Amino acid sequence: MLDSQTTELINKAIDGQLESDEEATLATLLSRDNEARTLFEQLSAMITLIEAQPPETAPRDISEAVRARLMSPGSEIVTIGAALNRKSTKKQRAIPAFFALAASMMIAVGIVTISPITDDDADLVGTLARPTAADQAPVLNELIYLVNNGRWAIEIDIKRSVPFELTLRSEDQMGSHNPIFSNIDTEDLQITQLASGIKLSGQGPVNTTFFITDDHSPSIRPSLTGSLSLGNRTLSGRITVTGN
Amino acid sequence: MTEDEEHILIEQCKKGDINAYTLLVKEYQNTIFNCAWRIVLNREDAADITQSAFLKLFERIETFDSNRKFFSWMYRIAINEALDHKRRRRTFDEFDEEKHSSDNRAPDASLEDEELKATIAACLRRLPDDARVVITLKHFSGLSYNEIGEILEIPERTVKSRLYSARQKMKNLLPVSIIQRA
Repeated sequence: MLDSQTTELINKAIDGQLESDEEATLATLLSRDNEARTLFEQLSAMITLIEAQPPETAPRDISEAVRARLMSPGSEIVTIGAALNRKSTKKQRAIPAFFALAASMMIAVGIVTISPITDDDADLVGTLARPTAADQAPVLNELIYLVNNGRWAIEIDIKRSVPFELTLRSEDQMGSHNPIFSNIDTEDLQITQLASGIKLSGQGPVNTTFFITDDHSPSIRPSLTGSLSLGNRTLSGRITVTGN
Repeated sequence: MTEDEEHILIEQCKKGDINAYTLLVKEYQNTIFNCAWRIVLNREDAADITQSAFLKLFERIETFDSNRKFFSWMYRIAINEALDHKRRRRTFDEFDEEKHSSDNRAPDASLEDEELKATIAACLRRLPDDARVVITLKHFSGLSYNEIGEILEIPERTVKSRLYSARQKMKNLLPVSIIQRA
Protein backbone atom coordinates (compact mmCIF):
# COMPACT_ATOMS: atom_id res chain seq x y z
CA MET A 1 0.00 0.00 0.00
CA LEU A 2 1.50 3.30 -1.09
CA ASP A 3 1.53 6.26 1.25
CA SER A 4 -0.33 9.42 0.36
CA GLN A 5 2.86 11.39 -0.33
CA THR A 6 3.96 8.90 -2.99
CA THR A 7 0.49 8.86 -4.56
CA GLU A 8 0.48 12.65 -4.66
CA LEU A 9 3.91 12.80 -6.26
CA ILE A 10 2.84 10.30 -8.93
CA ASN A 11 -0.31 12.27 -9.71
CA LYS A 12 1.57 15.55 -9.80
CA ALA A 13 4.05 13.99 -12.21
CA ILE A 14 1.23 12.86 -14.48
CA ASP A 15 -0.11 16.43 -14.52
CA GLY A 16 3.33 17.92 -15.10
CA GLN A 17 3.16 19.77 -11.80
CA LEU A 18 6.32 18.50 -10.09
CA GLU A 19 8.92 20.90 -8.73
CA SER A 20 12.53 20.01 -9.56
CA ASP A 21 13.28 18.66 -6.08
CA GLU A 22 10.12 16.56 -6.22
CA GLU A 23 11.23 15.10 -9.55
CA ALA A 24 14.38 13.76 -7.92
CA THR A 25 12.41 12.36 -4.99
CA LEU A 26 9.98 10.59 -7.28
CA ALA A 27 12.76 9.19 -9.44
CA THR A 28 14.35 7.65 -6.39
CA LEU A 29 11.01 6.27 -5.22
CA LEU A 30 10.22 4.70 -8.57
CA SER A 31 13.64 3.07 -8.81
CA ARG A 32 13.19 1.42 -5.43
CA ASP A 33 9.48 0.66 -5.20
CA ASN A 34 7.88 -1.72 -7.71
CA GLU A 35 4.36 -0.91 -6.57
CA ALA A 36 4.95 2.81 -7.05
CA ARG A 37 6.49 2.22 -10.46
CA THR A 38 3.58 0.03 -11.57
CA LEU A 39 1.06 2.61 -10.43
CA PHE A 40 2.92 5.40 -12.22
CA GLU A 41 3.13 3.39 -15.45
CA GLN A 42 -0.49 2.29 -15.37
CA LEU A 43 -1.86 5.73 -14.57
CA SER A 44 0.31 7.34 -17.22
CA ALA A 45 -0.82 4.79 -19.81
CA MET A 46 -4.45 5.21 -18.84
CA ILE A 47 -4.29 9.00 -19.12
CA THR A 48 -2.59 8.69 -22.51
CA LEU A 49 -5.42 6.47 -23.72
CA ILE A 50 -8.13 8.73 -22.37
CA GLU A 51 -6.64 11.93 -23.74
CA ALA A 52 -6.15 10.33 -27.14
CA GLN A 53 -9.88 9.83 -27.49
CA PRO A 54 -11.15 12.03 -30.30
CA PRO A 55 -13.82 14.59 -29.46
CA GLU A 56 -17.41 13.70 -30.18
CA THR A 57 -19.40 15.56 -32.77
CA ALA A 58 -22.87 16.67 -31.87
CA PRO A 59 -25.57 14.82 -33.85
CA ARG A 60 -27.17 18.09 -34.92
CA ASP A 61 -26.48 21.82 -35.09
CA ILE A 62 -27.37 22.87 -31.59
CA SER A 63 -26.85 26.58 -32.22
CA GLU A 64 -29.60 26.56 -34.85
CA ALA A 65 -31.93 24.64 -32.54
CA VAL A 66 -31.27 27.15 -29.74
CA ARG A 67 -31.78 30.06 -32.09
CA ALA A 68 -35.05 28.61 -33.41
CA ARG A 69 -36.28 28.07 -29.87
CA LEU A 70 -35.45 31.63 -28.85
CA MET A 71 -37.09 33.08 -31.94
CA SER A 72 -40.12 30.84 -31.88
CA PRO A 73 -43.40 32.70 -31.65
CA GLY A 74 -46.99 31.65 -31.26
CA SER A 75 -47.64 27.97 -31.27
CA GLU A 76 -43.96 27.28 -31.02
CA ILE A 77 -43.93 29.00 -27.61
CA VAL A 78 -41.53 31.63 -26.37
CA THR A 79 -40.18 30.89 -22.92
CA ILE A 80 -38.53 33.52 -20.82
CA GLY A 81 -36.15 32.86 -18.02
CA ALA A 82 -37.66 34.92 -15.31
CA ALA A 83 -40.27 33.37 -13.14
CA LEU A 84 -43.70 34.27 -12.02
CA ASN A 85 -44.20 35.92 -8.74
CA ARG A 86 -46.12 33.21 -6.98
CA LYS A 87 -47.25 34.90 -3.80
CA SER A 88 -50.55 33.33 -2.92
CA THR A 89 -53.48 35.59 -2.22
CA LYS A 90 -57.18 35.05 -1.67
CA LYS A 91 -57.84 36.71 -5.03
CA GLN A 92 -55.62 34.20 -6.78
CA ARG A 93 -57.45 31.27 -5.27
CA ALA A 94 -60.74 32.79 -6.36
CA ILE A 95 -59.72 32.93 -10.01
CA PRO A 96 -61.05 29.52 -11.10
CA ALA A 97 -64.49 30.54 -9.86
CA PHE A 98 -64.82 33.13 -12.57
CA PHE A 99 -63.46 31.13 -15.48
CA ALA A 100 -66.99 30.59 -16.78
CA LEU A 101 -67.79 34.27 -16.45
CA ALA A 102 -64.55 35.11 -18.18
CA ALA A 103 -65.50 33.05 -21.18
CA SER A 104 -68.56 35.17 -21.77
CA MET A 105 -67.17 38.51 -20.60
CA MET A 106 -63.61 38.31 -21.70
CA ILE A 107 -63.06 42.01 -22.09
CA ALA A 108 -64.52 42.84 -18.72
CA VAL A 109 -62.63 40.40 -16.57
CA GLY A 110 -59.58 42.36 -15.71
CA ILE A 111 -57.55 45.32 -16.79
CA VAL A 112 -53.83 45.56 -16.89
CA THR A 113 -52.76 48.80 -15.35
CA ILE A 114 -49.28 50.02 -15.94
CA SER A 115 -48.43 52.03 -12.87
CA PRO A 116 -45.93 54.71 -13.78
CA ILE A 117 -42.53 54.75 -12.18
CA THR A 118 -41.84 58.39 -12.88
CA ASP A 119 -44.06 61.45 -12.68
CA ASP A 120 -43.32 62.22 -16.30
CA ASP A 121 -45.68 59.44 -17.25
CA ALA A 122 -48.46 60.51 -14.92
CA ASP A 123 -50.67 61.87 -17.67
CA LEU A 124 -50.72 58.47 -19.26
CA VAL A 125 -52.12 56.65 -16.29
CA GLY A 126 -55.28 54.94 -17.28
CA THR A 127 -55.48 56.50 -20.67
CA LEU A 128 -53.26 53.94 -22.21
CA ALA A 129 -54.89 51.15 -20.33
CA ARG A 130 -58.40 52.30 -20.99
CA PRO A 131 -59.90 55.42 -22.57
CA THR A 132 -61.32 57.64 -19.85
CA ALA A 133 -64.11 59.24 -21.83
CA ALA A 134 -66.30 58.13 -24.67
CA ASP A 135 -65.40 61.14 -26.79
CA GLN A 136 -61.71 60.74 -26.25
CA ALA A 137 -60.00 59.27 -29.25
CA PRO A 138 -58.68 55.99 -27.96
CA VAL A 139 -54.98 55.64 -28.36
CA LEU A 140 -54.84 52.21 -26.89
CA ASN A 141 -58.37 51.11 -26.42
CA GLU A 142 -57.86 48.25 -24.07
CA LEU A 143 -54.91 46.40 -22.70
CA ILE A 144 -56.72 43.56 -21.08
CA TYR A 145 -55.53 40.84 -18.82
CA LEU A 146 -58.00 38.04 -18.78
CA VAL A 147 -58.46 34.39 -18.20
CA ASN A 148 -59.11 32.10 -21.11
CA ASN A 149 -59.25 28.37 -20.53
CA GLY A 150 -56.77 28.54 -17.71
CA ARG A 151 -54.37 30.79 -19.57
CA TRP A 152 -53.74 34.42 -18.78
CA ALA A 153 -54.26 36.53 -21.83
CA ILE A 154 -53.23 40.00 -22.86
CA GLU A 155 -55.20 41.73 -25.54
CA ILE A 156 -53.63 44.53 -27.50
CA ASP A 157 -56.19 46.70 -29.25
CA ILE A 158 -54.66 49.76 -30.87
CA LYS A 159 -56.98 51.83 -33.03
CA ARG A 160 -54.64 54.37 -34.56
CA SER A 161 -52.01 54.02 -37.19
CA VAL A 162 -49.01 54.49 -34.92
CA PRO A 163 -45.96 52.39 -34.17
CA PHE A 164 -46.07 50.66 -30.82
CA GLU A 165 -43.83 48.60 -28.60
CA LEU A 166 -44.82 46.55 -25.56
CA THR A 167 -42.10 45.18 -23.30
CA LEU A 168 -42.91 42.68 -20.57
CA ARG A 169 -40.39 41.51 -18.03
CA SER A 170 -40.84 39.21 -15.06
CA GLU A 171 -40.02 40.73 -11.70
CA ASP A 172 -38.69 37.49 -10.29
CA GLN A 173 -35.30 36.60 -11.75
CA MET A 174 -34.59 33.64 -9.53
CA GLY A 175 -37.67 31.45 -9.67
CA SER A 176 -37.79 28.02 -11.14
CA HIS A 177 -41.00 28.38 -13.12
CA ASN A 178 -40.85 30.11 -16.44
CA PRO A 179 -43.64 32.20 -17.91
CA ILE A 180 -44.45 31.01 -21.39
CA PHE A 181 -45.82 33.36 -24.00
CA SER A 182 -47.88 31.76 -26.70
CA ASN A 183 -50.30 32.43 -29.53
CA ILE A 184 -48.38 35.50 -30.61
CA ASP A 185 -49.53 36.61 -34.01
CA THR A 186 -46.36 37.22 -35.97
CA GLU A 187 -48.21 38.95 -38.80
CA ASP A 188 -49.06 41.82 -36.47
CA LEU A 189 -46.26 41.64 -33.94
CA GLN A 190 -42.53 41.48 -34.21
CA ILE A 191 -41.01 39.53 -31.35
CA THR A 192 -37.69 40.17 -29.67
CA GLN A 193 -36.64 37.75 -26.98
CA LEU A 194 -35.10 39.47 -23.97
CA ALA A 195 -33.12 37.68 -21.33
CA SER A 196 -35.88 38.17 -18.77
CA GLY A 197 -38.84 38.94 -20.95
CA ILE A 198 -40.15 39.77 -24.32
CA LYS A 199 -40.62 42.80 -26.56
CA LEU A 200 -43.49 42.98 -29.01
CA SER A 201 -43.55 45.71 -31.58
CA GLY A 202 -45.57 46.61 -34.62
CA GLN A 203 -47.71 49.18 -36.33
CA GLY A 204 -51.28 49.98 -35.43
CA PRO A 205 -54.11 49.42 -35.97
CA VAL A 206 -53.85 46.05 -34.31
CA ASN A 207 -56.15 43.82 -32.38
CA THR A 208 -54.58 40.66 -31.14
CA THR A 209 -54.51 38.48 -28.05
CA PHE A 210 -51.70 36.38 -26.72
CA PHE A 211 -51.29 34.24 -23.64
CA ILE A 212 -49.02 33.86 -20.68
CA THR A 213 -49.03 30.67 -18.71
CA ASP A 214 -46.98 28.69 -16.26
CA ASP A 215 -46.75 24.94 -16.67
CA HIS A 216 -47.21 24.24 -13.00
CA SER A 217 -49.63 26.90 -11.76
CA PRO A 218 -51.64 28.43 -14.58
CA SER A 219 -53.96 30.22 -12.19
CA ILE A 220 -51.21 32.27 -10.57
CA ARG A 221 -51.03 35.85 -11.71
CA PRO A 222 -47.68 36.77 -13.14
CA SER A 223 -46.07 39.85 -11.68
CA LEU A 224 -44.58 41.81 -14.53
CA THR A 225 -42.95 45.10 -15.14
CA GLY A 226 -43.32 46.56 -18.53
CA SER A 227 -43.41 49.51 -20.78
CA LEU A 228 -45.68 50.52 -23.57
CA SER A 229 -44.60 52.94 -26.25
CA LEU A 230 -47.15 54.33 -28.59
CA GLY A 231 -45.99 56.82 -31.15
CA ASN A 232 -43.63 59.06 -29.23
CA ARG A 233 -45.14 58.39 -25.81
CA THR A 234 -43.88 55.78 -23.40
CA LEU A 235 -45.30 54.50 -20.16
CA SER A 236 -43.23 52.26 -17.95
CA GLY A 237 -44.03 50.62 -14.68
CA ARG A 238 -45.35 47.64 -12.84
CA ILE A 239 -48.13 45.72 -14.48
CA THR A 240 -50.84 44.58 -12.14
CA VAL A 241 -54.24 43.03 -12.53
CA THR A 242 -56.82 45.41 -11.17
CA GLY A 243 -59.97 43.73 -12.47
CA ASN A 244 -61.98 41.27 -10.43
CA MET B 1 -12.70 34.06 -30.35
CA THR B 2 -10.73 36.48 -28.20
CA GLU B 3 -11.80 37.47 -24.68
CA ASP B 4 -12.67 40.96 -25.94
CA GLU B 5 -14.86 39.56 -28.69
CA GLU B 6 -16.55 37.26 -26.21
CA HIS B 7 -17.14 40.17 -23.83
CA ILE B 8 -18.76 42.23 -26.60
CA LEU B 9 -21.00 39.33 -27.57
CA ILE B 10 -22.07 38.79 -23.97
CA GLU B 11 -22.98 42.46 -23.59
CA GLN B 12 -25.06 42.22 -26.78
CA CYS B 13 -26.73 39.07 -25.45
CA LYS B 14 -27.67 40.95 -22.28
CA LYS B 15 -29.62 43.33 -24.50
CA GLY B 16 -31.54 40.40 -25.99
CA ASP B 17 -29.54 40.05 -29.19
CA ILE B 18 -30.27 36.51 -30.37
CA ASN B 19 -27.82 36.74 -33.28
CA ALA B 20 -24.98 37.49 -30.88
CA TYR B 21 -26.06 34.62 -28.70
CA THR B 22 -26.13 32.26 -31.68
CA LEU B 23 -22.47 33.10 -32.31
CA LEU B 24 -21.63 32.29 -28.69
CA VAL B 25 -23.46 28.98 -28.93
CA LYS B 26 -21.65 28.12 -32.17
CA GLU B 27 -18.35 28.83 -30.46
CA TYR B 28 -18.98 26.61 -27.46
CA GLN B 29 -21.52 23.99 -28.53
CA ASN B 30 -18.99 21.24 -29.22
CA THR B 31 -17.14 21.90 -25.98
CA ILE B 32 -20.31 21.64 -23.95
CA PHE B 33 -21.66 18.73 -25.97
CA ASN B 34 -18.49 16.74 -25.31
CA CYS B 35 -18.59 17.49 -21.62
CA ALA B 36 -22.25 16.47 -21.42
CA TRP B 37 -21.59 13.34 -23.46
CA ARG B 38 -18.90 12.13 -21.03
CA ILE B 39 -21.34 12.54 -18.17
CA VAL B 40 -24.46 10.97 -19.66
CA LEU B 41 -22.74 8.80 -22.32
CA ASN B 42 -25.56 9.10 -24.81
CA ARG B 43 -25.27 11.34 -27.87
CA GLU B 44 -28.90 12.33 -28.20
CA ASP B 45 -29.24 13.01 -24.49
CA ALA B 46 -26.02 15.02 -24.56
CA ALA B 47 -27.35 17.11 -27.46
CA ASP B 48 -30.60 17.75 -25.57
CA ILE B 49 -28.66 18.72 -22.46
CA THR B 50 -26.43 21.06 -24.45
CA GLN B 51 -29.45 22.74 -26.00
CA SER B 52 -31.22 23.02 -22.68
CA ALA B 53 -28.09 24.41 -20.99
CA PHE B 54 -27.69 27.10 -23.65
CA LEU B 55 -31.35 28.09 -23.32
CA LYS B 56 -30.87 28.43 -19.57
CA LEU B 57 -27.71 30.44 -20.09
CA PHE B 58 -29.58 32.90 -22.27
CA GLU B 59 -32.41 33.17 -19.79
CA ARG B 60 -29.97 34.06 -17.04
CA ILE B 61 -27.41 36.02 -18.99
CA GLU B 62 -28.59 39.32 -17.55
CA THR B 63 -27.43 38.10 -14.17
CA PHE B 64 -23.98 37.09 -15.43
CA ASP B 65 -21.20 39.08 -13.80
CA SER B 66 -18.89 40.11 -16.62
CA ASN B 67 -15.94 40.16 -14.24
CA ARG B 68 -16.18 36.39 -13.98
CA LYS B 69 -15.17 33.86 -16.60
CA PHE B 70 -17.98 33.03 -18.99
CA PHE B 71 -16.74 29.53 -19.67
CA SER B 72 -16.76 28.61 -15.95
CA TRP B 73 -20.35 29.78 -15.66
CA MET B 74 -21.27 27.94 -18.85
CA TYR B 75 -19.63 24.69 -17.76
CA ARG B 76 -21.28 24.86 -14.34
CA ILE B 77 -24.76 25.21 -15.82
CA ALA B 78 -24.11 22.43 -18.33
CA ILE B 79 -22.74 20.04 -15.71
CA ASN B 80 -25.70 20.66 -13.41
CA GLU B 81 -28.03 20.09 -16.33
CA ALA B 82 -26.27 16.82 -17.21
CA LEU B 83 -26.29 15.54 -13.63
CA ASP B 84 -29.97 16.47 -13.21
CA HIS B 85 -30.73 14.63 -16.42
CA LYS B 86 -28.81 11.58 -15.26
CA ARG B 87 -30.63 11.51 -11.92
CA ARG B 88 -34.03 11.88 -13.57
CA ARG B 89 -33.25 9.10 -15.99
CA ARG B 90 -32.09 6.82 -13.23
CA THR B 91 -35.41 7.14 -11.40
CA PHE B 92 -37.42 5.48 -14.14
CA ASP B 93 -34.88 3.76 -16.32
CA GLU B 94 -32.37 1.36 -14.84
CA PHE B 95 -29.22 1.84 -16.77
CA ASP B 96 -28.76 -0.65 -19.58
CA GLU B 97 -25.21 -0.52 -20.87
CA GLU B 98 -25.95 -2.27 -24.15
CA LYS B 99 -28.82 0.05 -24.95
CA HIS B 100 -26.91 3.19 -24.11
CA SER B 101 -23.64 2.29 -25.77
CA SER B 102 -25.13 1.20 -29.08
CA ASP B 103 -25.89 4.71 -30.26
CA ASN B 104 -22.43 6.03 -29.54
CA ARG B 105 -20.67 4.35 -32.44
CA ALA B 106 -19.03 6.62 -34.96
CA PRO B 107 -19.62 5.34 -38.50
CA ASP B 108 -15.98 5.41 -39.62
CA ALA B 109 -14.26 4.15 -36.49
CA SER B 110 -12.31 0.91 -36.52
CA LEU B 111 -13.41 -2.02 -34.39
CA GLU B 112 -10.40 -1.60 -32.12
CA ASP B 113 -11.08 2.09 -31.64
CA GLU B 114 -14.69 1.30 -30.95
CA GLU B 115 -13.77 -1.34 -28.43
CA LEU B 116 -11.48 1.07 -26.62
CA LYS B 117 -14.05 3.83 -26.70
CA ALA B 118 -16.76 1.50 -25.40
CA THR B 119 -14.49 0.23 -22.63
CA ILE B 120 -13.61 3.73 -21.50
CA ALA B 121 -17.29 4.68 -21.61
CA ALA B 122 -18.19 1.61 -19.57
CA CYS B 123 -15.61 2.54 -16.94
CA LEU B 124 -16.82 6.14 -16.82
CA ARG B 125 -20.37 4.89 -16.40
CA ARG B 126 -19.37 2.98 -13.29
CA LEU B 127 -17.65 5.93 -11.66
CA PRO B 128 -19.49 8.03 -9.07
CA ASP B 129 -20.75 11.37 -10.44
CA ASP B 130 -18.11 13.55 -8.80
CA ALA B 131 -15.31 11.31 -10.10
CA ARG B 132 -16.77 11.23 -13.60
CA VAL B 133 -17.12 15.01 -13.67
CA VAL B 134 -13.58 15.70 -12.52
CA ILE B 135 -12.09 13.15 -14.96
CA THR B 136 -14.12 14.71 -17.76
CA LEU B 137 -13.06 18.25 -16.98
CA LYS B 138 -9.39 17.38 -16.53
CA HIS B 139 -8.74 14.80 -19.21
CA PHE B 140 -11.42 15.28 -21.84
CA SER B 141 -11.90 19.04 -21.57
CA GLY B 142 -8.25 19.70 -20.70
CA LEU B 143 -8.91 22.20 -17.93
CA SER B 144 -6.51 23.17 -15.15
CA TYR B 145 -7.05 22.50 -11.43
CA ASN B 146 -7.86 26.18 -10.98
CA GLU B 147 -10.44 26.21 -13.75
CA ILE B 148 -12.07 23.04 -12.46
CA GLY B 149 -12.22 24.57 -8.99
CA GLU B 150 -13.97 27.65 -10.36
CA ILE B 151 -16.51 25.56 -12.24
CA LEU B 152 -17.30 23.22 -9.37
CA GLU B 153 -16.87 25.99 -6.78
CA ILE B 154 -14.48 23.93 -4.69
CA PRO B 155 -10.91 24.65 -3.54
CA GLU B 156 -8.04 23.54 -5.74
CA ARG B 157 -6.84 21.04 -3.14
CA THR B 158 -10.26 19.38 -3.23
CA VAL B 159 -10.02 19.19 -7.02
CA LYS B 160 -6.69 17.39 -6.68
CA SER B 161 -7.86 14.90 -4.09
CA ARG B 162 -11.01 14.14 -6.11
CA LEU B 163 -8.98 13.75 -9.25
CA TYR B 164 -6.39 11.45 -7.68
CA SER B 165 -9.10 9.28 -6.21
CA ALA B 166 -11.05 9.25 -9.50
CA ARG B 167 -7.99 8.17 -11.46
CA GLN B 168 -7.37 5.32 -9.05
CA LYS B 169 -10.99 4.16 -9.39
CA MET B 170 -10.83 4.43 -13.15
CA LYS B 171 -7.60 2.44 -13.29
CA ASN B 172 -9.12 -0.30 -11.18
CA LEU B 173 -12.07 -0.51 -13.57
CA LEU B 174 -10.06 -0.48 -16.78
CA PRO B 175 -8.83 -3.95 -17.89
CA VAL B 176 -5.05 -4.29 -17.77
CA SER B 177 -5.07 -5.50 -21.37
CA ILE B 178 -6.52 -2.15 -22.43
CA ILE B 179 -4.03 -0.15 -20.38
CA GLN B 180 -1.18 -2.10 -21.93
CA ARG B 181 -2.19 -0.91 -25.38
CA ALA B 182 -0.76 2.47 -24.55
